[in-house]
Amino acid sequence: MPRATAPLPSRPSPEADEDTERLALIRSHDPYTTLRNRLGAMADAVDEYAGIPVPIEGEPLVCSPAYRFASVLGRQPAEDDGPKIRNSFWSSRYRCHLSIIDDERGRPAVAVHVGSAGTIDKLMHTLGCSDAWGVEQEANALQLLAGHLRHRQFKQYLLTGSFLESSPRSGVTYFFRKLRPTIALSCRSGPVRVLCALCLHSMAHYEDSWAGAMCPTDDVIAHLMLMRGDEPLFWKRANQIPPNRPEAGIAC
Amino acid sequence: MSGEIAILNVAGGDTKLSFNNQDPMETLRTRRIVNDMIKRGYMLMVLVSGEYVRAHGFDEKHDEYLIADFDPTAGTDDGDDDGTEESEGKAAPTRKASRAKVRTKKARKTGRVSAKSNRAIAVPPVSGG
Repeated sequence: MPRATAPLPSRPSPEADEDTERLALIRSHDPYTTLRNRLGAMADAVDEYAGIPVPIEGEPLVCSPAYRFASVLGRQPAEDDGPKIRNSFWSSRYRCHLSIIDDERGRPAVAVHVGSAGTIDKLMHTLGCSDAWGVEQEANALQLLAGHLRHRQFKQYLLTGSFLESSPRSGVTYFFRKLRPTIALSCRSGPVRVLCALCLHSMAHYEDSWAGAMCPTDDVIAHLMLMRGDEPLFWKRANQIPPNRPEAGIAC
Repeated sequence: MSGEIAILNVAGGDTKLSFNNQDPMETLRTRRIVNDMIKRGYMLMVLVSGEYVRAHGFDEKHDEYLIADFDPTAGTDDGDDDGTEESEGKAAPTRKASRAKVRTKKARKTGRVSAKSNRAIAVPPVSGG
């Protein structure tokens, strides 16, 4: 009669070992991994469910007023902010922002070109801010997005970084884009009309860039969920940018 | 089936919680976190029958999300109460009474959806970019 033998202790599968090794290899190439993980652990310890944004030198953070650490991480006002600005406005003629400032003698009404909110600058800043995100985080966000889109939409997003969806309530069609404001289109009658670009970030974003504190697909998910779940709030919270401005990310 | 909540997160892309009947500690933790998130301004979008609705509250006792349930028929048969003392149509309604009538028409009921059988996504407080 064969003797009963004790079951062998369970061992991790070889596939799991390979995944751990691959993950370690990816992480070893990303110098911000340690900082990101430490901030994640700190956020868990203080019950900050959305995490703590990664600070990047030279890229000030602009935080949502409702974010708990906004006063610590957000952009701090400089002691000397330069000349006093009386008024600023967008010039459609010169396609740039103009400011009326006080000169050294305190005389007003000096118009100064402050630049065209340089698109190339914004692109470069956005590229620099990509250090804040990890490949893992973007992969997780892609998986989450996949579960909430139709196949064609997700394929379009993977291949072009954008997709369309129409709201059954308002009839507005939204053009969701990675790392750019969402464009609201009216397609009801006649030619397609661009209503505006809706710029919005979860928790915080880096100034003078299109980068949010969260990975790009998380921002797309936030836009999509707000549009589907509470469209009026989406419009209320977003910055509504006219389509002819460089900040809209259309005319570039 | 356990209801799952994905929270958009900087470090993890999204972290997941669940109302897991097999793990009471996990369910307890999830309840606490959901309540805390709603108080802090997180927006919970719940997928109910193929549509997304925003949860504005959470009932811990019954594990149910509280959603705004707009009733389009509310206020259509409210001729009896127009806010004035003479409500039999003898006196013309005052401006205050008209405003009260409009508020009644737009009154929202609160609906409930089970957290254990519906997925949700939690979006942190947002700001314009």
